[in-house]
Amino acid sequence: MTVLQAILIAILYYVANSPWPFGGLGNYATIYRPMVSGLVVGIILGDPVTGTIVGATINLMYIGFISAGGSMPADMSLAGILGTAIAITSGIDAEAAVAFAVPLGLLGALVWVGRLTLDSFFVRVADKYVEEGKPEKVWIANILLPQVLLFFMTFIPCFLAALYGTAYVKGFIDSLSGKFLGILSTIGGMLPAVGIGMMLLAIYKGRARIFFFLGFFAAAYLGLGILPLALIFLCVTLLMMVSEGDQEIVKRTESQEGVVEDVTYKYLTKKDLRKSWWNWMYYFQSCYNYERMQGVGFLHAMTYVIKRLYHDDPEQRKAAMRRHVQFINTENATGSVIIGLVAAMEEQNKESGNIGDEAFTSIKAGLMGPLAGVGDTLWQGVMIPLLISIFVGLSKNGNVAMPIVYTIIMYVLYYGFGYWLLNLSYKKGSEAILEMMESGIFKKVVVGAGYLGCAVMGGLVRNFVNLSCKVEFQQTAETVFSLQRDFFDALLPGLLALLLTLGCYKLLKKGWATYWVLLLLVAIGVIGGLAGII
Amino acid sequence: MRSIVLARIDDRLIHGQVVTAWCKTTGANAIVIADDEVARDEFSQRLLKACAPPGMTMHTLTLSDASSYLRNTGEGDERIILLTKTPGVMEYLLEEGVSIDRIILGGMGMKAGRKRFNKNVSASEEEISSMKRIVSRGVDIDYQMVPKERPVNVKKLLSKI
Repeated sequence: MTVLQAILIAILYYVANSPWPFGGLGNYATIYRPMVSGLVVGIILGDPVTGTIVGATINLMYIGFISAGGSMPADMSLAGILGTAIAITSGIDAEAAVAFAVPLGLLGALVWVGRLTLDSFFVRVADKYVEEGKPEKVWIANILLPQVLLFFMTFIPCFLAALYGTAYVKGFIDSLSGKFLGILSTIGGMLPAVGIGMMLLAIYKGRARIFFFLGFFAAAYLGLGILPLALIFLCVTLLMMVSEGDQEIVKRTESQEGVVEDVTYKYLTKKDLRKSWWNWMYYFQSCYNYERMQGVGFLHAMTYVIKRLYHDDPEQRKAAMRRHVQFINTENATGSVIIGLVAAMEEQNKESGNIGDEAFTSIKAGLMGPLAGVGDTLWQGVMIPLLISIFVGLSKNGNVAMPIVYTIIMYVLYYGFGYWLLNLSYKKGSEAILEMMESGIFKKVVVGAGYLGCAVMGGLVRNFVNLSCKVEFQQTAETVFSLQRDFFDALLPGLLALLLTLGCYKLLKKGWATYWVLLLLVAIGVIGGLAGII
Repeated sequence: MRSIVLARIDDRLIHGQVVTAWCKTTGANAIVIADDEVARDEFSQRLLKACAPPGMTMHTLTLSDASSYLRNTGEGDERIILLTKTPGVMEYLLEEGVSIDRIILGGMGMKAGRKRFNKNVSASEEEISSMKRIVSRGVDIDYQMVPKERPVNVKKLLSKI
């Protein structure tokens, strides 16, 4: 690897964790994922096809991955970027690369904790601008300082690891015997069972369990790929949801009329609101810290509203800045609701001057939790895993267009959803949001996606979890009875992979920590491989 | 029988960590929120009920209602996640005789009167002493955001103050 390539790879690691180019959670849903970053690493190292294959394979480990409310179990971006780099530079197969990538992911989580701790210092800077009443300076506390810090925290370790680490790993791999590399591939072939098991933890319940087996059988017996499988089961799911929906009666409540005068867009322009929201979508987590979580990001988003409404009133300006730099922690896209409602309230406040801090605090504090519960489930729990599963299936044979198509779809869905909520909440107010929540639309989507997700997981198990038995018996003088070919494959192709995945799921459900399950599979791989059983 | 499978202090109440992680691993089928403010605010109540994960019953109760609800073992199989905003509420429930074996400290946001306690937990002096009193009753408090994370016993953190 050249120095330039190592620099580019290190920059990629920074970008994956930065707000650019797709915004905070926009990046998190796309370039942070190994499937997408694998392609980029491949381009940097001159082998995009291998990059895509390896990235997609590593991504299988992180399908059920959720980072909620400041917790971060592992850093899949580091695992994906360095794992792919190792695979390309040392020529090992995608399965073996997974075995290297997983420990890297655990190491990467340290960067996250460091960042949330150190970013607290910049809260002081933001507080200073608040007391000075200078909204135009907030970007320094929210973007400039934390991003410079993040750049160093991500660039330096990744650069060193890419430049020296990959050479070291290559030397190590070259010294290994074929047998050991074979064992590594066996282990790597089994590991996706853990990633899929984690995903099942969230969705494998009730009727959805049947879908898991349907998906598996469709792939095993009919040989369906992930996309046809997903489309067919999407239709089945919709059919089921419609018949279930018949019993449900949507509860509607009388909306309050004429309580407050409508002052939307009286002071704010459409551009102000859009800028505020855009800023929220991009930089809400740029200065993420344990003390206020997204407080500085929220203030930064609100500065466009504050500047417009209170440009000639320093006291009001300060008061508004003070109330919006407070602790807030919610999900990005559903959090658009809070931006819309608060912007409308600030406009009311400008009009009547009688909305106290108390009202702002209670609406923010009351909404942030429930919205995050819905939003995290919807995006991290359901939509991202579902889409990524389908596209991992499409990318795994090296189709370089698929990570790009995934990124575009994700971006459009994500921002479309946020923008819709922004307008709904700003124009129609909190009652409209409540009514939408009460209509149960999100629950329906989550339940339906659970069915579909289970079917896709079944397909993934068949296609991407590899475990086969090498035991053979001499049947007659000429023929050999292969346990895999003549027994397992004759019954149900991929049977062992299915059992392995369900086993991992059971252990995780019992409360086993992920790394113990991983270690167990490594042990099985080593012992079984040495004994020549698998 | 009613049983508390998780008692958690978190002033965000129900949110991503609770919905995507704790609800799954604890096998809970009900959430009890013990908070006077929430119980008296119709908007919050409706919102919380609407945002309950599929298959979960949501009870938003005042402190005294929560206390009698949780002491009554009831009929049917209710596995409850109990959520409170502050340690003071947990202490109140313990004093009332609600049986809670272990409390998870999930998060308390920084606000006036509070100081940084640990990671995403800030606490006022009153909240600190409340936690101390809970610990001295023999109830463990562990700081833990999500089930996958290693729990940190708060006793040590408290003794540092």
